[in-house]
Order: sequence, then C-alpha cells, then structure tokens
Amino acid sequence: MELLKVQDLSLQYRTKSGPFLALDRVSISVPKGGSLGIVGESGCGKTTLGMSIMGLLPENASVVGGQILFEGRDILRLNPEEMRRYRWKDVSMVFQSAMNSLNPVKRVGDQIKEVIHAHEPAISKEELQERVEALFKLVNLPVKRMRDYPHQYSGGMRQRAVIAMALALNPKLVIADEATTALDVIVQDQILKETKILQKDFGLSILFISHDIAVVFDVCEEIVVMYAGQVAEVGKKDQILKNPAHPYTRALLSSYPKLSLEKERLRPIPGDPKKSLMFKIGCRFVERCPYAEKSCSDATAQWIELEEGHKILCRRNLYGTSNS
Amino acid sequence: MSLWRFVLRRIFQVGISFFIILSLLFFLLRLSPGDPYSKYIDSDMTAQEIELIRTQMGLDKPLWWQYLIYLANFVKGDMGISFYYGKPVGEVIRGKVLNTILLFTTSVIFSALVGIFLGRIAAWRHGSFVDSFLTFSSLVTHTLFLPWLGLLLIWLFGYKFELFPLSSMYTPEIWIDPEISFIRKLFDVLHHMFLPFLTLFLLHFGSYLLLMRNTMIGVLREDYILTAKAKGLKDKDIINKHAVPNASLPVITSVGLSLAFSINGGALTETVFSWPGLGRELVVAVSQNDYPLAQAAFLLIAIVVLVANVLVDLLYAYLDPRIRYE
Amino acid sequence: MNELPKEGKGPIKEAWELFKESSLGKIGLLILCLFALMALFSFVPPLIDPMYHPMKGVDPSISVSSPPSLRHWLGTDFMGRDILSQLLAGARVAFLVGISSAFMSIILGTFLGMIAGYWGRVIDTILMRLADIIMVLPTLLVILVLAALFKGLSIWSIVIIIAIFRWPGVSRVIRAQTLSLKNRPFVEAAKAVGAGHMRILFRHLLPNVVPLAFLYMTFRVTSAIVIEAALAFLGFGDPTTVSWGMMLQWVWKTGHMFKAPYWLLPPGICISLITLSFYMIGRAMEQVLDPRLRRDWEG
Repeated sequence: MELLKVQDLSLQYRTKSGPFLALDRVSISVPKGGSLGIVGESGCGKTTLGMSIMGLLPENASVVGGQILFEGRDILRLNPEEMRRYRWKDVSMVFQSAMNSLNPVKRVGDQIKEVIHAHEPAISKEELQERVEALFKLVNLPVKRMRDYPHQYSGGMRQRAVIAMALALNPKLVIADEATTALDVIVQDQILKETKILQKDFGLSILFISHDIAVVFDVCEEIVVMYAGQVAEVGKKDQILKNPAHPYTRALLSSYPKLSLEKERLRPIPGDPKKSLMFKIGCRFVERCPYAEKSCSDATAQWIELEEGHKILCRRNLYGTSNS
Repeated sequence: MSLWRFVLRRIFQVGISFFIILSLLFFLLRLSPGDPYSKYIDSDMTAQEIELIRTQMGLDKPLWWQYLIYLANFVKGDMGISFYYGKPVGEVIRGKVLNTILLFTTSVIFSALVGIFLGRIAAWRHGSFVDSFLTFSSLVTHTLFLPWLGLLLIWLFGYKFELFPLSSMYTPEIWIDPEISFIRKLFDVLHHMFLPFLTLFLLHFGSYLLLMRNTMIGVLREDYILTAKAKGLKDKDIINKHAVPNASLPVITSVGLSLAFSINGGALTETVFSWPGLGRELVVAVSQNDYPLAQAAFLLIAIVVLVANVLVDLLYAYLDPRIRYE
Repeated sequence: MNELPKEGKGPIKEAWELFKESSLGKIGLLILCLFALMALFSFVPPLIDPMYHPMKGVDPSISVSSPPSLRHWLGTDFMGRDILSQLLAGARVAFLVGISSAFMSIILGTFLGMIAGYWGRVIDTILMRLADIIMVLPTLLVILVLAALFKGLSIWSIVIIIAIFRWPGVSRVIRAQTLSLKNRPFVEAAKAVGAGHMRILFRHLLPNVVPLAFLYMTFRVTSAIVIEAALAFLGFGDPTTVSWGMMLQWVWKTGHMFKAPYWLLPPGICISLITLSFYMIGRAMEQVLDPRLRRDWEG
C-alpha cells in the first residue's frame, strides 16, 4: 500500500474576483520510504498541494473533488481532533524561510519540546529533555544551544533546528516546501546530504516541493512536474532526465529553445475573470506550448504512458516512445 | 549583559532630555515679559524673603552664573517659595508625587492589561460582531472629552446614585481617627480613587485594545503561527503561547510612547476630582500666578513621565529576547 | 525626462474612491459636515435677534439657568444666555482652532521635514532630536506653564503653540518621503541642469510631498480642538471667545453640574463627537495612505 495517495484532488480558492481553481484533478503517490519531488513554477499549485496534505488550507479554500489517502484513511474526512493528532505525528512539514517558522520569542529547544508534549502529554521533563538533545545531535546542532532564541542562530542552524523539529515525533512522511531556497549553496548542499542520510536511517518518506529542479533531482527518486494546477508529467528521476516528454518539462530542464518561462511567471490573475481557471477543456499549457495545435485546446488532454512509471498529460506524444 | 547597557543608555538619554527641559525653562523665564525676578516675588512677601530670593537667583550676576545657580538650586531641591501656600515649594510638592503616581500608574497598567486581553479576543474573532462591537466601543470611549467624562461620572455615580464620593482623595474624619484600622483607611482611599481611575481607564483602554487587535491580526498571518498549527497544537495554545506574546510587545512600546499624552489626562482628571496630585497643583499654581510652584510641579511631572518611560523600556527589553540577548 | 505629477487629479480621485469604501469614513464625514453646518449657522441667530448672541445675549426675562423651552431650545446658562447659540459659536471656534493649528503644523512640519530629509546628517540629527524632545513633552502642561509665564494667552497664541507642538509627527513622514525621493532620477536631472537647492526643494520635491502632508492633517486637527477645550475648561482659554470647553467650565464652576444636564451634556457631546468623526475619517484615511506610501510618485 502506498503511504500517501492523492487521487484526483481538485481545490479552489474564493477570491474577490471569483473562484480560482488551484488544483485540477491532481494525483500523486508516495511509497513507504520513498522520496517524491514536486517541481513547478510559483503558482502552479505545489504549495497548495503540500498544505492540503497537512490540512493547513486557508479559510477561503475548498476541496471540490478527490481524496487524500494517508495509509488508506481519507485526510479530508478527519474531524478536528483526529486532524490535530495526525498533524506532525504522521506527517510533518519543513517550511520555506525557516526563520519565520520559529517563534522569535520562544527558545528553540522549548518549541521542539512543545510539540512532543502536545502529542504525548504524559511525558516526563527528563525524557523531554533527552529526546530534544537526541534530536539536536541528529541534525548536528550543539546541544548547549537549545536554550537560545531563533535570532541567535545562523540561517543554516535554523534550518537544522526546523528539521529536528520535523522529526521530533518520528513521522512517516516529511513534506519539505522550498526548504533550502533561502540558504546559500554550500549550506544547502550540506543539508541535502544530511537529509538523505536521515531518510535512509529512519525509513522516512519525503515529499520535496521546490521550483529548483537541481535540488529536487538531487534528493528524490521520483518526480512530478506540475503546471497551472495540473500534473504535467510523472516519472522516475532517470526516466525524466533521459526523456523529458512533456513540452513544459523540456522547458524546465532547459534542453530546448527557451520559452522564456523564467520571466513569464504564471500568476493567478484575480483581476480578470475571463481568465479565471476553472475546469477547462483542453490543455492548460496551450498558450505557451510551441507545439500546440487547435485540437489541444478543444479536447481534454490524455494521460499517455510512455514506459513503466512514466507518463505525461498531453495529446501529442512528441518525444517519448509510446506503448499505445 | 546587554540588558544593563540598554538600561544605562536609556537613563543617559532620559537624563539629557530632562536637562534640556530644565534649561529650556530657564530661558523661557527670561524671555517672558517682565523681569524674571518679578515672577518669583509677590507683594505679600516680607522684605527678608524678597532679599533671600534676590541672592538665591543671583540676579546681579552674569547670565551663565545665574544658570548655574538655577541648576544647583534644583539639585538641592530648593525651588523657591510658593505664594499661594506661603511655604517653600518643596514642602508643598513633596506629598503630591505619590498621589499622582498612585492614580496614574494604576490606570495605565489596568488599561494596558484590559486592552491586551480584549484586543486578543477581538483579533481571534476578527470580523465577527464581537470584534466590531469592541472596535467601535474603543473608538467611542477613546474620543470622549476627558474632563467631561469625569464630570459625567461624578454626576451619575457620585450624585445621582450616591455610590462614590464626589471629590478628593480621602475622608478627613476617617484618616484623623487613630481608632480606625489601616485597612479601612486604605479602602477609603480606594473608594475615592475609583471614579478618577475609571475616567482615565475608560479613555485609554480603547487605544491599547485597537493596537493589540491590529497587531495580533498581523501576527496570526505569520509563518510561525502556521507552523504551530501544523504541529497539531490546540487553538487555545496557539493564541496564548504564540500569538499573544508576540503581539503584546508593540503594545507595551506604545504604552511608553503615550505616557506623555496620558499625563495630560492625568492632570485634567486630578483637577476635576480634586485629587491632590501634581497635575492639580500645577493647574492651581497657574491660576494663582504662582510661578515657582508651577515650575516645580511641571518639572516633577516631567521626571515622573521620564522615569516611567525608562521603566516601560526596561520591561520591553526584558520581554523581547531579541533585545535581551543581543 | 520624467514629468512631475501635477498636484494630482489622479491620486486624489483614487484616494476618494478608496475612502468611500469605508463606512466608518463616510459616517465620520457626515458628522463632520453637520458640525460644519453648525459653524456656518452660528452667524445667523445674533443677526436675527441680539438676544441670541452667545456672549452678550442675555435674555431679560431669565436670569438663572433654565431648562429647554420653546424660546431657548437647549435652555439657558446661569446668566440667562441661550445655550444653543453658544453651542453653534463653539462649533465655529472648534473649526477655527483645529484647522488653523493643523494647517500651521503641517506647514512647519513639511518644511522642517523636507530640510531634514534633504540635507541630512547634522541638520537632520539636530531636527530629529528636537522632534523627539518635543514629542515627549505633555503639550497641555507646557502650555499651562507658558500661561503662567505670559499671564494669559489669546486664542491665537494657543493656536500657534499647539502648532509648534504638533509638527514633529508630520515632519517624520515628510522626511521619510523626502529621503526616498531625494535620489530619484528627476532630482538628479534637476541638479544636472544646475538647479539650486531652493529650487529643487520647492519646485520639485514639494509638490510630491504636499499631498501626503495634507492627508496627515486629519490627525492633527482633533488634538488641537481637544487641547483648546481642555485649556478653556481649566479656565485658561481666551475669555472673549465662547468655546465648548469654556461652556463646560461655566457649568462646572457655577455649580450647575448636578442641576443642569441640558447645559452639561451638549458641549461635552459635541467635543467628543467631533473628535470621533475625525478619528473615523482618520481610520478610513489609513486605508488610503498605506498603499500610497509604497507607490511610485514620479510620472
């Protein structure tokens, strides 16, 4: 059984200028001990996806279809108390900008103690202390810094602290959302290495969300490419590297004449109701795809399976070898 | 250890500010119409007293010498003789300081605490009726005219309902009688203090409420609140252990900033309620053209406000670890 | 080269649109208009019948404070003068004091703020230290001391002194704005053409900074009105002008506090209400101000 299975998840936000569909029939799965990376530009819905798995969606968001199955249970159907217990214990998260993830007026050690205590109220003070010390050692943080405040830590140290906190309850899945974006390259490299070691040692599943392809390819075995709220391509790392079949993936990997995707970022356009992305017939990449034909906008895109475990959402299979 | 440095720096700054105020008064005295001498004397004084003041102020000496005498006098605590009371100013003022501090600090502390408490509720129920009600009441109470509010309260609760005394700080008969217990005397003071305290409180809690509410709404959008939610903490803990401590800090800062403003209200309240404090003394002195008394009352009020400022800064520095552990 | 934005139709119109969205702001404006009407109307009664003059119009048939009646809608004060006319005159004084004092402090604050921002360093430090000290002083109390020194103050001296105490707030904002504009291309260009400092300040920086200054005026007006009222209440106001604070003083000092609610209530309500209306407008203004502070002002 898959550890996490998101099936046909569709989610919309209520905005001032009408509803905005952030996720359109998204399906992903993460096996036990596996690592899945989600790449895409800002606004493609990857963060929303991560948030929905944690149950952290804002008030104006509503799920309009699909399920999120964690060990077979639909997260979307949990009551508040069950959700509270599920959070951090089963799935934890490492956010972007670790500086702001930590409460500036509480000691770092206390913030980790807090989460352990919240889920295991019966735990003794001594054991709490031991556990946090162990966590600090795990992420190579000096134990004596436990009593310091976040502003006294360097950027890399904060990131490690946040990772330590994420591991505090031995979760089964850790979601990392742009976890290394704010760090300089050297520190980033170190942390990625340490993350991979931790993952192996603990049999953790990781869901790694980033717009930085290099990082995702470094850490993850399987990759999902998202665009405009949809999954564009899914595959194992090697498959995608060798054979990026979706035009968007190609563009991302910069192995094709640029579509200047860097400058033109997809942004939800709240001010323009005509462009509000609701259930749309046709492929969403149409406006920027150099291979688009008329039929691409008229009919729904299909899943084309290129090889075992590698498929794309496109009407035209332009690069891959097809099985069909 | 940086806490000490912070404190010392603040005390130094405050000292400079006070020094400047002190000096400004000196020069203002000399700029005003009539010679400065005349402000210190009064036709009721004996020739001896007049002569005393002449030498004290050193009016026959050059300006800078007078300035030094002025400063020295202040340090000695010698501020001249009050015409109105016929006594040295120091004697008159001495008892009043505590009265002002009592009324002023209790009302400021209470308004801040209540403001924080209610502001928290308003922020958590952002957009609801409770929020609108609290916000609107804060706006309304904050804009009431202070002396008028005082008069209104006296009229309603002192006169009509006869719940509280109409003025002053204590009932003389009770205080003079040695038989009566201290507790009863204390209660008598509190009883007299209630209406002036209420006046100041009503006027000020609103601004703290609004500030706390707005700050907290901002804080609730911060990432660490999201993290706290993700950690599976209870809502109540998220608010009380994460949001409130962060949101309270700017409110405390604003207490310090608004002290100068609230002391205006303090003086007005003391006057309306005949509460024997520095503010009322200042007003009385001015209406009697008793300049020495007015000057002394003003300077003492300035000291109280500046000291309060430093204390608030200290509290803030202690509470905000980003300052305490530089 | 960038054209300087003309004293803006654009920004002002937009500001109005934003302002209209706030119901609080609209109510505040409404109340303010009512008071303005009162102030305008204050000239009328004495013209109709000298008995209704706020200061001198004593009703010959009444010599004590009397409750509202057909002839005197709000009753009379202890000397037999009509309270309603006093109330109307008070509105006039409030606007006079509030607006002129705010106006002066805006001018002073804008001027000093621009100087501090433009020249920086020593001048900036001195001005800002001065501003800090002034902000720490309790305005009312200082005015009291001045009253003791100068043996009484006229309404205009009060207005000017209040303005002197209020400029620091304005100057800070103006200084910040000046600092951000100082290094913009259009200033550099003006310098390149050989424009002197004065010219740059007045022709180029000032128009960009003035709208902001005026927006902050709403915050200044109330404190002036309240301070004047407090001074009048304490007995240090100008004895020749009737203001709401003065009316309260009379109620209080003549011992009519408990006996004449029709005299006690109206002035206090007026002062509180006008302050409230300015606050409401101020809050609506904040919504307008925030995005604008981030906006690019050139061309």
